[in-house]
Amino acid sequence: MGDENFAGLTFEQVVRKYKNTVGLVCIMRLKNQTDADDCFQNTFLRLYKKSPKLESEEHLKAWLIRVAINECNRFMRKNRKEVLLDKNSDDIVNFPYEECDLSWALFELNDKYREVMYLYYCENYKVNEIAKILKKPPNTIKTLLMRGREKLRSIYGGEC
Amino acid sequence: MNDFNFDKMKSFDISDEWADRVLSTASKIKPRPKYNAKIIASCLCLTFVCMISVLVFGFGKTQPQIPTAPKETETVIQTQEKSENKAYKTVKKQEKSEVTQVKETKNQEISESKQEESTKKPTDKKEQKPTVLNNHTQKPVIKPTVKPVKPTNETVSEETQPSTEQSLPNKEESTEESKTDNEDLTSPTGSDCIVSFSPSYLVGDGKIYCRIKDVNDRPVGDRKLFSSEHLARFYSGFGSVYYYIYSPQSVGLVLEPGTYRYYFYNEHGVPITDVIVEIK
Repeated sequence: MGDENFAGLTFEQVVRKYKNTVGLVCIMRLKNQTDADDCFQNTFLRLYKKSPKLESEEHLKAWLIRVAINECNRFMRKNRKEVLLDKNSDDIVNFPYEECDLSWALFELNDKYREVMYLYYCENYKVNEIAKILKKPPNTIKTLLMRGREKLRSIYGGEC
Repeated sequence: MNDFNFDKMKSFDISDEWADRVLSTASKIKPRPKYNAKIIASCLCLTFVCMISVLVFGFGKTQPQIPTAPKETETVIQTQEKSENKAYKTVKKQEKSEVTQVKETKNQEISESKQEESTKKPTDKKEQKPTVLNNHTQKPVIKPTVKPVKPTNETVSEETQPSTEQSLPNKEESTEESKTDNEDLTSPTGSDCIVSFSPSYLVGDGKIYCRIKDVNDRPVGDRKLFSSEHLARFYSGFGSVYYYIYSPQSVGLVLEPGTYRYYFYNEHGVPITDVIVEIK
């Protein structure tokens, strides 16, 4: 297993390095720890089975984010259940979102703003890169970023 | 917006359990084999060379195959029929050639037997019968001393022939038939003959019964003289079955020299065929 080469990294190194990125994408999209865990696992297993030829770690990271989003979409389409928005849900309660200040991402923001905000502010992607990952035009990304900021500003006031 | 604390989010750490679970699952999965381009190219070249060699060296030697399956079966059946007919003809020819040789020996035997009969009592004839019967029952194959006689069944159809025992052919018809077919059907060697008919005649118990009539169409002996036990089926072609008829002596009937006609029936009394046999 360790012999596989993914942009110069072994599979274990890839998992250890990008577990937070992929995990947060899954959690933000599904808002359920158990489901996010499944999609998290499927994302890395897809990488392991398919072993795509990726030139650099940046490509690898973008590939993982894109696959994680696809896995989450597939999961939601397959299960067709409502996304948990209840703060009192067990999965959400067990998830330490307050410690890392994820409540804005999980509950206040809409899905379409959430990913863009996360990729822009947390993963430090640029607009064009986000556009490539999410397969949307750059201007759309800019619009989503602007509206997401306005939404957070209206929630948190001048703090944001 | 910059005041919003994204650093906390960046510091969020997914537990190692998730990563360990992925790693343990991945260790159980066999990764997809990566095909080497050189290996694929070499395989393609090898197959190409093989195809070229087959086309160059093997094409001329291969025989054209019959395209469709039904035609194949038909041809196979036809060839089988031809081969079997040829085999039967060769057997016939051999028998004819051997019969000429056997004629002399039989005549000698007959002359000797006549001499013996003249010397012995009439009870000696009965003592000879079981030995002949045993010989025939032990050898259900073609005897080399037999000349086959052409059967007349092919001309006989079920519609024209009577279906019961009461509607047997008349004397006049039989005499006419005997006149017309006498030359072909007469067995020069005498009692033994071969008859041919369709297996569809073998209804009921599957046995064949025979009645022997003399030249004047008078029945000789019992009607159920021959059953299938006294017949030897030695050849089965497509559509017809050939039977070797043992001599009447083998079933205990002593016929005087002369021309006789064997009428064969099935269990229902439907006439199958008739053969003229000349006993010398």
